[in-house]
Amino acid sequence: MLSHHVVVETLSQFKMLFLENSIKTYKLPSIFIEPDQEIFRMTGKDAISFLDRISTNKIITFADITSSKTIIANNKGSILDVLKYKILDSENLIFTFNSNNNETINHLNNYIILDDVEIIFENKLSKISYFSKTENISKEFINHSYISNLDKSEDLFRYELFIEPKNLTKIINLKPLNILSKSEKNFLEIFMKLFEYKSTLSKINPLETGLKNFISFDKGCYVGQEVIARLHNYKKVSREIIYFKSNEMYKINDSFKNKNGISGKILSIENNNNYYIGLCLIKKKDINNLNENYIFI
Amino acid sequence: MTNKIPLNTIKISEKACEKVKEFAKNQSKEKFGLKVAVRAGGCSGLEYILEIVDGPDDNDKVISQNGLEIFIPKKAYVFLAGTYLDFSDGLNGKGFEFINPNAKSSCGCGDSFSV
Repeated sequence: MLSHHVVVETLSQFKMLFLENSIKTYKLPSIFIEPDQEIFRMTGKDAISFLDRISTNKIITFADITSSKTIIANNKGSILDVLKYKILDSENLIFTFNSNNNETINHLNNYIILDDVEIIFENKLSKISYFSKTENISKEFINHSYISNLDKSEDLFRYELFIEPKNLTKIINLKPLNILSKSEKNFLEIFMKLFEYKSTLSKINPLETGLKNFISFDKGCYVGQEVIARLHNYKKVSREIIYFKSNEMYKINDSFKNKNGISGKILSIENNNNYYIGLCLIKKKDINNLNENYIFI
Repeated sequence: MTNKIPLNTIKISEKACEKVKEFAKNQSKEKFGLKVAVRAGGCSGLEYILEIVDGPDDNDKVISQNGLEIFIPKKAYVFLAGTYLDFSDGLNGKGFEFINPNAKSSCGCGDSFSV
């Protein structure tokens, strides 16, 4: 077994370093475009109720229809996928999901027993990640989005917008925007403590990863609720996301341990010239001992 | 008793039958049966459904026990084969209780299970 010394900087130091070296050099607002994002439709008279029963958020039909996120968890409360959805009417909603993995569709289909629900492929759209220092965004973007979500951090805002490619071209022609590289986009997301849930990640509770806003604590049972609600109510969430810096590349879901055992795992990582930075999930009790040796396993 | 239920049926205890009949009487139903089904939901993934209905649907398996007709949708039957349905009342009672040999795990309240 190889052991590696991982330098984990304190939050405030790292945040400042990151700001100085990266974010301040970016021209914002900027966008990153990913083509061919699959959108699915959940249709049938039980569609809304079905998604409500198997995911964490309260899925209800609003008069003013908005997009949101909901988490598909297993019965142990671990994330299987994160769905971004929009309710169209009482029998239809559209969604896309983080992992872009057919296993999620298979998982959902396995739960359709007596419900009047069908999941069908709807369209392939461009996914726009729109980063800005303010919440303001051109109405053209929102109006042309099938699904739109806003994530906020202390210093930045990120919209995720799913738009038909032809409409995207029109919008960009109206008001040209700076286009980010994949690496720049990843840095911004790391800075905002956002990560894309990958199917390679396992055994992560949504309360550990900043997804609390997409969990309903008053709607009653859903798959995984027993564990998630207990962790929340008894304040037993044991890990949280922090930044890390390393001189070696690690894979997402790699675990690391200290002298007390497994301490955390890698959620995202990006190369920044001669070192790597990213997000990891770490036991809260280890946060005060961040400069000790961590061994990757 | 619950270990001996063959997989081609489900069993319902006399007490559970009586309770169903009592609920049906309260609803002033003369002809009725008990629909037993499962659907997605609950903490463990699949939740039980119990419903007093007028009669079976086209795709229901019909089982008669203790003077009560039980209707089980064929799609749900695979999850319920061999199940024993009991009823316990009183302060510590759980109400209707499913003892399902197909369930690998159940949630704390027993209303849902996984296979």
